[in-house]
Amino acid sequence: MGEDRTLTSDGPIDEGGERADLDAPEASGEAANEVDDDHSVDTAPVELGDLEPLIRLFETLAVAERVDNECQRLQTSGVLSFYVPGGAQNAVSAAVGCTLEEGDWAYPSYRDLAMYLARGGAPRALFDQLLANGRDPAAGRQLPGRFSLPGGRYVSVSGALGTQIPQAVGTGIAMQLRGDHSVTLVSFGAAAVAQSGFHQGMELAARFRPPVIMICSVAARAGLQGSLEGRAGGYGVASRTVDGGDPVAMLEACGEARQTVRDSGAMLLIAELPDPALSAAKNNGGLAARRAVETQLEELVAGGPRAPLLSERLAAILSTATDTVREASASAAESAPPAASRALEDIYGEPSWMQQEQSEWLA
Amino acid sequence: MASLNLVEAVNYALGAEMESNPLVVLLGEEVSESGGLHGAAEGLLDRFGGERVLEVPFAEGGLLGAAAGMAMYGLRPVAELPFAECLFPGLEQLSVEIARLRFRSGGEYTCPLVVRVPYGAGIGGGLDQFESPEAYLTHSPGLVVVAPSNAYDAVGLLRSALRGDDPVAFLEPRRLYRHESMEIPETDYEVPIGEAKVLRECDEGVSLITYGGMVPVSLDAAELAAEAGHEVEVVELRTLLPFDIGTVLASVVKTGRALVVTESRKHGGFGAELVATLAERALLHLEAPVERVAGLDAPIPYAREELYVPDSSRVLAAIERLVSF
Repeated sequence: MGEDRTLTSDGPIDEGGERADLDAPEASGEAANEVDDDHSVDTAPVELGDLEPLIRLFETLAVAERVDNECQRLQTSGVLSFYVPGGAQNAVSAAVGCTLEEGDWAYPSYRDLAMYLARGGAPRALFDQLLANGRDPAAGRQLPGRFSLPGGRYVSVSGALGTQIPQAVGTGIAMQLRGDHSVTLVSFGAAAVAQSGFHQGMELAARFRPPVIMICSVAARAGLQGSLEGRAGGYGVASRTVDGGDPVAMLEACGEARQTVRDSGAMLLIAELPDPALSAAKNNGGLAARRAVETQLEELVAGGPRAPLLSERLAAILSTATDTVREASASAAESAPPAASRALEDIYGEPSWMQQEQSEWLA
Repeated sequence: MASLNLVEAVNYALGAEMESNPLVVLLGEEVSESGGLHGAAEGLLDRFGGERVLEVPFAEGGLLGAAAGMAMYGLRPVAELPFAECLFPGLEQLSVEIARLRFRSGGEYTCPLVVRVPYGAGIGGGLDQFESPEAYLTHSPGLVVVAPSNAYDAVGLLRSALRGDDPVAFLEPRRLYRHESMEIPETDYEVPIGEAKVLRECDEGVSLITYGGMVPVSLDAAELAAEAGHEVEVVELRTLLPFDIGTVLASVVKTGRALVVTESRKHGGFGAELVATLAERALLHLEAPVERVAGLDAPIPYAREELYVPDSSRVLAAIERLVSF
């Protein structure tokens, strides 16, 4: 669905064949709007039960898509010097992020903005990072898109390929040692597969069997020799290949992988991304991913009374996403750059005499 | 109170910290059954089990990466490298990832771990086993680099390293592992990071600044110099990054003559940093040009290793040049 489209319903019949009572506030969507004692109206969205996980996925993708678009606009206009869009990988990243639970740890790659959003990152904080302003917790030290999520167990993204893989395995081993039943997730692209970090991570994962989901997003023309399944099999690590262009399939696969790694140790999830030359991903992979979720949602409510409610909900999400991203971008652009003093902070727990002395250079 | 040599002291401190802090774990290659290449982990598997003494594959990037992931999670890992050259496969993790994590995340994520690095020539390690790698490490802001030369300091520094908030590269001079034993108090003492120690004092003469494997050589040379009528104040840094600039400067300002003794290569090394610091801050107090005694600007040979490693006669010759300038 594009922003100009509206979901339609064939009639007020629910999936069970029963006629819904459209006068009932639940069906009209009015139930969620409660009038408080002070006569203010709480406009909480209508809950759609079993559809909520997919709606959350849709929302994540909608915001990610708009962030991508806005960043490409900023890059074209010279405001943003560097940006790697989530694009087609948004489907994988959003699905993974929506699978994570509170105690889980994530080691993302630099295309995982959707995971950042799903993990609880706010668009405003995201643009603070992208535009490297003074509100960014990391004071603009990282290239745009290498987010860190305070308190989110979403480890600051590194520019070095594959280094996060053995780190994630280390966190998984630590979880085992501490009896923590959470999982660790590490995301990387096909380019990391030739790096030593991939092989070190696989070797460690094979030896210790920690609860780690390793997700490799493979572009259609990545040029990998041999198969990733074969590589994983060589280490004795389980693997599964999923259509990375289908966020719903990814969501299911991630959910299953979560259980698998808790039961029997690390596994490699191979997400095959759609060939941009052959799909809607050509111009905007994020748009294709969002539409895939939308289609799935439409099919789930087709002909039922929830169809118009869903339509309203999705339209509201799109509208809000547009406004939120626009506001976040504008706000970040207006914010002052990081203070010069930040250049020498966060190096040690306590600044050494070297940092203290050199702070005078910044005055 | 026990009498321990340096490697026994490392083993003792590891065991004591693992005993008192369940978050401390040891990772390394062959650290479990055999107690590591040098025996520093001997007996720890029996005491703490395979969950806290983890034998990892021979891949130092993986070892340090896994230790980083554990540290971020909240454990206090100690990663044992078998020898200094193993640092290089792991340098991306140590210098690019571990050292910079606090900075790149705005302080949200930290990596408090200890990387133990047996280092230094003089044991027949040959071309690619026992380098003096401190220059690679002291050029990595975010890392703390320490180099004890004796059992007492090894225990105290290891405690401080494991109780601090920063990643620490713990350089252990391999040649001194069984050099001498000393009494180790049973008290829970620490040697603070960043504090040098004056091993031998004088009011006039030469300030000799050194660390790690060069400490016994320097003390021998100072003794020989004293016999020849030249006083030498020996300052042992113990911490290289950040080094104790106050103690170093106070000594050199007092004596007016400075000698820097390092095992690593002369040019572009940590010794050069010390000399540059003295040139910047103590030039007007100097009675003679700063002297350096260092390793040769060559890879360490297997045959004739003694040509590479500075000995007391080379140090003594430098002292004599300084006092006769």
